[in-house]
Amino acid sequence: MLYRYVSVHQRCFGRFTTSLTHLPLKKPSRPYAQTTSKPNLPAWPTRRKIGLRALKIANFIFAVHLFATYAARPSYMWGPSMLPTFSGTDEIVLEWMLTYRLSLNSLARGDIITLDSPIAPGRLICKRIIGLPGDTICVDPTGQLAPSTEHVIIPKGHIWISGDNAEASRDSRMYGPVPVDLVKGRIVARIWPPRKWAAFPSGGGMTDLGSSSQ
Amino acid sequence: MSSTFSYFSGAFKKSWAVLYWLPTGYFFGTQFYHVKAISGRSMQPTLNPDSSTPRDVALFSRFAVHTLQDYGRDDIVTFRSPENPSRILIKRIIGVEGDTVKTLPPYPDKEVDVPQGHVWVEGDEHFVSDDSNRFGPIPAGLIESKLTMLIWPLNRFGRLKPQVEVDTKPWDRDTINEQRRQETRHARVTTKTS
Repeated sequence: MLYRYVSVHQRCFGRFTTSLTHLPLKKPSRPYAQTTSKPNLPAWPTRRKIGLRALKIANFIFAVHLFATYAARPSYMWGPSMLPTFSGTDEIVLEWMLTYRLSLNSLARGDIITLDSPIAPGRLICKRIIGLPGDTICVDPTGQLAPSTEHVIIPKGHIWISGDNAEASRDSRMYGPVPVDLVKGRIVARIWPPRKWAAFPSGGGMTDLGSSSQ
Repeated sequence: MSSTFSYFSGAFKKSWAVLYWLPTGYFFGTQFYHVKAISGRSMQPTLNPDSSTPRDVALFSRFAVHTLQDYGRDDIVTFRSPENPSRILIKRIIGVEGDTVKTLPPYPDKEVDVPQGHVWVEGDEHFVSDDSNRFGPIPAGLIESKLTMLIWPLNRFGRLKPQVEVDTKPWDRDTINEQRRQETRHARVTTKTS
């Protein structure tokens, strides 16, 4: 009778998945046929192999992290500032970053973007782009934070952002145009809850008056 | 051709190994520390003191800014220009949120209160520097990394000079100049606590 070391994982998931997650164990020093008296126990993986396995797991974690930083990721959405569009409670959205990291020219009016908060460094906020560089913007049409006659021209390299829910949003009406480099990515879809699934195309929710009048 | 790039040849195995470990390399090379050459005269005489010699090379810490949030007055930081996102600038933080800074000529107002979450940055050489005196206070979220140490030239290798104590009387000319510059810098800033 032969005794072999079999891990719990190998017992449960069989040979195929085990070969993916576990590196092959060290071969027994002698073939089974030569064992006569005592059972042949294959050796445990060497320290070197355990170390390599740990490094590979770390490498995989780094790859996932970099993908989530530079390409795309699901994000948890919370807060009342985008209220008609997002309910402000448990929602998960898909954030697309790759093209915005590569070139910021792909921004359009009406895009829902995520950006680093200009007033709280390190905090990610979600707003809608209202104006691009060179646009003339009415600071606050409601007249709450500024007189409704006040207009500004957005300087080069800046954008004007605003939450959909003006009542509960701290945005450009309060702190003015923000540098475009604070933008991290665009929200492309809501993926949770499934019955409220929605895609947000670039420039959606905004009518371009300039082109429609021509 | 097939012998060079076939699956079992050494070239393929090596390039695959490089590709496989790329995430680890990229992560440590960008998210923790990175090495960069500094161009331009805006930080003279602290960096690139002599324009005729090769450029200074420095080690920048991203970890200190993004994870530890450890940056403040007198730190030298890099950030994307608020006017042109493709340009990376290197300047010194003069004032943080809540400070009142006396501005220099191109800025329209005499004094400015640095708003919440913003910093006031300036180059050490005001005449050739595009800094907050031109574009106003910048959001701290724009800051990418902080200068940790100089790598090149070798005679200035290591950390930049530590801050000079106000009470001590230095005798060396460089230190005296550094102390004077620091005093003029600090005299223009009224901090929130004082």
